[in-house]
Amino acid sequence: MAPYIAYRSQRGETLQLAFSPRAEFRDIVDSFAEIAYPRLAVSRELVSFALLELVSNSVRAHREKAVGEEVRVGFRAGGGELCVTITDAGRGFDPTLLPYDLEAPPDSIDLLGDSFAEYRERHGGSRFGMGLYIAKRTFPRFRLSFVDREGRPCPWFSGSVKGTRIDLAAPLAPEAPRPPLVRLASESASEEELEVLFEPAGVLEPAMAPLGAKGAAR
Amino acid sequence: MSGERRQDARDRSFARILVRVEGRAGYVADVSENGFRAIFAGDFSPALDSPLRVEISFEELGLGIFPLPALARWSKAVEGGAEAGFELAPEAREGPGAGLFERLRSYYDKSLR
Repeated sequence: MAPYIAYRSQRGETLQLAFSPRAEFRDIVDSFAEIAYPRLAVSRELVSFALLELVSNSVRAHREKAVGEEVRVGFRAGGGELCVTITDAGRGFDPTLLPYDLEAPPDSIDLLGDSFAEYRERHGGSRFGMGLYIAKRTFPRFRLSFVDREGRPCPWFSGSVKGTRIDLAAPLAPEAPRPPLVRLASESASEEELEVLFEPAGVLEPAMAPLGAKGAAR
Repeated sequence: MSGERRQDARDRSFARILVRVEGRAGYVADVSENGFRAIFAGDFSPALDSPLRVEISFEELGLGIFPLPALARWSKAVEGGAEAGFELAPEAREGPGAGLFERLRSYYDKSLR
């Protein structure tokens, strides 16, 4: 059975969500809790929180720059992966102001280092600066790019950045062994005629601890 | 101990957490009156039942980074990370973090779910 994603009454290999920059943040949290992912090789909660952090960054950028457009999140399950793309129109950001090199392996990043302390100070003690770091740790495939008005990648310093696009992928868990085929025993039938297959039900798991939800995405 | 022990009502949440000394970062996954559950990226086995220097941030509500003394009561590995349950330390209830934690809890208590 092909892996699929479910959200409220929708179910399929892809899912598109859009969040208004005016949405109440707790409703965005609830929306993510309503996503049921196929079984992942990484904690579903960690995946959801890492995505929430990125969506929060995008929503904040839209608010700060008075951008009314929605932040878009696209999911696709297939090819042994859950792929997620987050696209915003928040005008991008200067990557050199992050407390770490975006290309650095996550294990080499010291959250207690001076660069993080400086980052916190620069932001008035309001931010840890760890959102992209955790996303990199959680999603083995991580790519951040800036895009222009046509959605084409462009460098930060080009002056034509409309927003940020982040492409992520996490592996799906290997499929559980199928239950044995059920065979109808009949002495008169040949072995080829005896197979009766019972497809195992598809496995979907809620994105976050199941507490019920009503969310903000449409 | 490797599982939830809180008996009081919990509200799903999202806030950032950094455990100082260990340098572990993660997210507050749900909150209750006396504690919270957090999930961390990467391996993490906090020392249980002794006070930890924990910092929380929830800038979506204008809550900058604030210290919240807490005791880890349980932890367990999850795929790609770890989760742990924390109880507010007695000194947390008298410090500035108590009021800010209550604001966080009350924000999610108003969730529409």
